[in-house]
Amino acid sequence: MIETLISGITYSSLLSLMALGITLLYRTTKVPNFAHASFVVFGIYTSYTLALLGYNPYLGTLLGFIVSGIIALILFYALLEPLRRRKSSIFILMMATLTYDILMFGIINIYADYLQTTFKIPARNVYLAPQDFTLIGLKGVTIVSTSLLIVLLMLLYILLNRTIIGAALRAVMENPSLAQANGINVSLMLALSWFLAGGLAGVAGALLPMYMMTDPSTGMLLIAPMFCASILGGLEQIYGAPLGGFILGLATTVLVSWLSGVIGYWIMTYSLMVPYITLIVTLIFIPRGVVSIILKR
Amino acid sequence: MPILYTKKIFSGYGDLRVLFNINFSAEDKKITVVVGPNGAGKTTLLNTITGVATIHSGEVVFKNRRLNGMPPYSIARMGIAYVPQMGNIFSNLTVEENLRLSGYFLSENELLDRLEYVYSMFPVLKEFRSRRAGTLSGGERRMLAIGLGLMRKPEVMLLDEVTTDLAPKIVKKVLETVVRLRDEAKLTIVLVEQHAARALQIGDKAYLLVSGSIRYEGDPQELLRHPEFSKLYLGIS
Ligand SMILES: Nc1ncnc2c1ncn2[C@@H]1O[C@H](COP(=O)(O)OP(=O)(O)OP(=O)(O)O)[C@@H](O)[C@H]1O
Ligand SMILES: [Mg+2]
Repeated sequence: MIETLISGITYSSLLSLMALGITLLYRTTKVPNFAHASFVVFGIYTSYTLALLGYNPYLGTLLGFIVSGIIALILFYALLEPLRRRKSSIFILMMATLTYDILMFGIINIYADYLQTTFKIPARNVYLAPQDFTLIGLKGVTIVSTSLLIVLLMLLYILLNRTIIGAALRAVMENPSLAQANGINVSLMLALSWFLAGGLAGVAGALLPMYMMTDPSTGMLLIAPMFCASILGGLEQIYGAPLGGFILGLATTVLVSWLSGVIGYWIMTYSLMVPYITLIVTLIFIPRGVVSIILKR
Repeated sequence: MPILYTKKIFSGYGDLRVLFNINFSAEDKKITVVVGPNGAGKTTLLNTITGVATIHSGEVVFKNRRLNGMPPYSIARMGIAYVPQMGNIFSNLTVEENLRLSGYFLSENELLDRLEYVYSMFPVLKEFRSRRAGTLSGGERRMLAIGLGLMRKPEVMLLDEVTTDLAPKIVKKVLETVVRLRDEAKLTIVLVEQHAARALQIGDKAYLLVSGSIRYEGDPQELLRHPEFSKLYLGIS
C-alpha cells in the first residue's frame, strides 16, 4: 500500500510538471498544445542518449529542459507566430500543434531506428530504472521528481511574481493588446512561455524512463492525463496544474492498484480510462477546475 | 507644425474597411478632440495611429517618421501613449506593478522618478499602491490608466473615452487632469469622446467623425453650433 502511494506521488510529480506547461501555454497563447506529447518524448530520449554515452541520466533533466525548450521555440516561431500574425483562429493554431507533434513523432522514430539499426541499441524500449539509485529506502526518481517539482514551482513563482519579466508575462496573459500598448514585446513574452513550458515537459520526460517503460509513443499515451490534470486543476490558475496532477495521479495509481487486487491484474491495461472519465466528469460538473472551488469567495 | 498626423488614411481590420480618406493632425502641446456617434470609427483612428488596425493606404507620421507597419510596442516606446477605451489596466496586477510594468524599459532611476511623478499627479494611487488594480473604483481606474501612459514620459497621449460611465463630479476631475497634462506636463493630447459637449469645452481643435469620414475640422466651440452636430447629438449630453 505504502509502495503504491510512493509510486503515485512520483507519477503525480511528473504529471504536474507536464500539466504546468499546458496550463501556462493556455494562459499565454490560448492554445491547447498537443505538441506537449513530443516535448516530453524529446526529454525521454535526451536522458536516454546521455545514459548511452555513459553519463548520469539525471543530467538529462537539465539538458532535456533546454532541448525540449528549443523544440517548443521552433514550433512557436515557425508555425504559431506566423499564424497568430495572420489572426488565425484558435482551432487552426491547435491543428498546427497537432501537426507539429506528428512531425516530431516521426523524427523521434527516425532517431530510435537509427540507434537500433546502426548501433544495435534497443532504442524502442527505454527503461532506465535498473540504473537508478536508492536513498533511505526511497527510489532516486521519487526523490528527484518531487524535489524538482517543488524547486521548479518556487522558481516559477518567483519569476512570475517577483520579477518585472514575470509581471510582463502576467500582463500578456491578462490583456495582450494593452501589454503591446504599454511597450511590451508580446511576441517575445509568448516565446518565453513556450520555452518554459517545453522545458518543464522536457524535465518530466527526462525522468520518465526511471519510472516506467517508455518509447516514442509514450507522449501520445500521456497527452490525455496531461490535459486532464491541467483542466481538472483549472486553466485559469497556473498552480491549478500541480493540484490537478496530484489528484489525478494519486487517483489513478491508488484506484488501479486497488482494483487489480479485487478484480485481477488485467484491469491495469485499462488504467488510461481514469483520466478520460475524470475529464468528462470535470467538464460537466466543475468546468473551471478545482481551483475555482478553492478560490470561490 | 503638427507633431502627429495622418495623410489620406484608409484603414480597418483585415479586409474590413472602417476609415476613409482621413487627414487628421494633432498640434503640438494642444488638446485635439475627436467626437462622433457609436461606430463612427473614433477608436479605429487611434488603433490606426498605434499600429493595431490594418492600414490599407495612406500614412501615419509622428515627428517626421512614418509609423506604418511598425509593431504597437515600438510605437508605444517612441513616445505615443495610448489609453484604450476598454481593458486599459491589468486588473490582476497591483497598482504599482501596473505602473512599473509600463515603464519596464526605463532605467531604475528614471523609473522611480516617473513613479513619483505619477503618484504626485494622482495621490490616491500612491495610497493604494499595493492593492490589486481590479479592486479600484471606476474613477481610480481611469487615473491608473492615464498613469500607465504617463510612466513612459510620452509626448503624445491618446485618450479613448476616459470619462465614459463616470459620475459627473468625477468626469470634471478627469477632464481637469487632461488640461493639467497639457499645461503642466506639456503633452499633446488626442481626446476621443462620445459625450461631446464637456470635452469640446476644453479642446483647442475638434474633429467630427461620422461613418468613417471627417465631417468637420476646426474650432471646438464652432462645432457645438454646427448643424450636423446638433442633428447627431440632439438629446445627448
Ligand atoms: N477589432 C475589430 N475587428 C473588426 N471590426 C472592428 C473592430 N473594432 C471595431 N470594429 C468595427 O469598426 C467600426 C468602427 O468601430 P470603432 O470602435 O472605431 O467606433 P467608435 O467610433 O470608437 O465607436 P464607440 O463610440 O462605440 O466606441 C464598427 O463597425 C466596429 O464594428
Ligand atoms: Mg470607441
